[in-house]
Amino acid sequence: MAALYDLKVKIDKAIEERKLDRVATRGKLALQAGFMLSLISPATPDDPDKLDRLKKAAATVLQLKL
Amino acid sequence: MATLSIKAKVGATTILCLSAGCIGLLVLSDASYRKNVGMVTGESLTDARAGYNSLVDSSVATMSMAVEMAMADSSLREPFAARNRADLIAATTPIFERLRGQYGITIFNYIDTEQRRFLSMTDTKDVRLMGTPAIRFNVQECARRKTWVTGLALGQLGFALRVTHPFYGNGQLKDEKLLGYIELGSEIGGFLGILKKQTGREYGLLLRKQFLNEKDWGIQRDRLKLPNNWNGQKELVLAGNTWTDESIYAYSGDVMALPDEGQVLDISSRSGQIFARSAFPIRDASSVKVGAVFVLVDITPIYTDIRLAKALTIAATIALIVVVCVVLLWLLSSLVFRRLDEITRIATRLVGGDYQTPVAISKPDEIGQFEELFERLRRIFVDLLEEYRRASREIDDKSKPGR
Repeated sequence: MAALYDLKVKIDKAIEERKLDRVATRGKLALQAGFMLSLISPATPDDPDKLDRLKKAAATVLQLKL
Repeated sequence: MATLSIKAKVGATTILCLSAGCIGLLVLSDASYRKNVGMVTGESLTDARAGYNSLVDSSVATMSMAVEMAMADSSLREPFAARNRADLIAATTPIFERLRGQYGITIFNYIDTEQRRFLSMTDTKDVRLMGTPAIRFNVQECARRKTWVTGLALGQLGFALRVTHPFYGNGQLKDEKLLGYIELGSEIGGFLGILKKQTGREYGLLLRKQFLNEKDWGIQRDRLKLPNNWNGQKELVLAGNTWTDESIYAYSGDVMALPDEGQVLDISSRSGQIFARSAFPIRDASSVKVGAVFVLVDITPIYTDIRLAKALTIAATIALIVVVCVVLLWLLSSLVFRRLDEITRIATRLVGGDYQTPVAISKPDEIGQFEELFERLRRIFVDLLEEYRRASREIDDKSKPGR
């Protein structure tokens, strides 16, 4: 539980550190992953498929290895 | 799968269409050039043939008249009848000089009844021209028919238009007593200069070698102080020309195959000038094709014009491609691509969490309709999202302990 949310937090941190447009970058990640990051909460179940897709999206959009 | 952007496709299509148009124009201009050249050359050929035939006719008429006058002249008739060569030379020389100077008559021959040369005024000292048989069609035919024979014929002194007539003792056109034959001739090479003056074209006279004798040809060329050109071509020899470079008259085709009305041959260039070559055959007194008159038409101005037109067409097409591509891409960019980019940007931001930015309907066109549709979808999506969040919050609240 909360692995997907942790991933989202790490991504948000990377966006902040790199001073990227938060909305635009999250939009690109959402389009890439196929779901919206804003809908991930600590209670969101850890769907392995969603985890994998978000990691791939982070790698593609942010070149971030998670 | 390889993808190609709409911009690239539109650009490539424009370039292809305009290039095809350019090629079409070039093909058309080339066809027009060939048609013009064909027309000019064909007309020149017709003019040259008509001019040549007219020269032959007038030359035959002049020589026939001169023959009649010579036969009527007792100062020529008497020494010929007496076979007194010295007196005949003395009497004929002033007449021949006048005919040569005024009418271009270069051959004045007396032939005896046995068809042997008695005297040739062209060279009164050449022993080959005294007592030797004058074996040629016009002499034989004149002896057979005892009347005028005219036409081209080869003699020891070259190929010439000749008028041959029986020379009678009474100086008239008919009599019982035949003295021999009188023959006047005019080198047809001289016709070329007249034709050039009349038409402004260049001409060349090519004769088939099989009707000539190499040794005699050399002697004749030497007499005319011209270089021996016997080996210049394989089957033909250039007997006269008006253009400086003889090589332009080179012809490897078969003169016998040339139609009587003539034929446009090809295009050839020399010394920066471009000529359309055509030729018509000439026949001797026995109607055999013995050579051809070559007509050169200077088509340099036409060729230069067409090259300029081609260069202009290519330059205009390139300019048109650039302008059309720039205008089309600018139009596409401003009417379609930029507006699609804006929709994409708003869609991206929407899923990124910006639910407030609407899609502006920039123009009332097809993309504007899509913008409007997208804006409606965006609102529905935002409403749904809000609904989803509210429902999620309610579930969370209910599931919290103490509630």
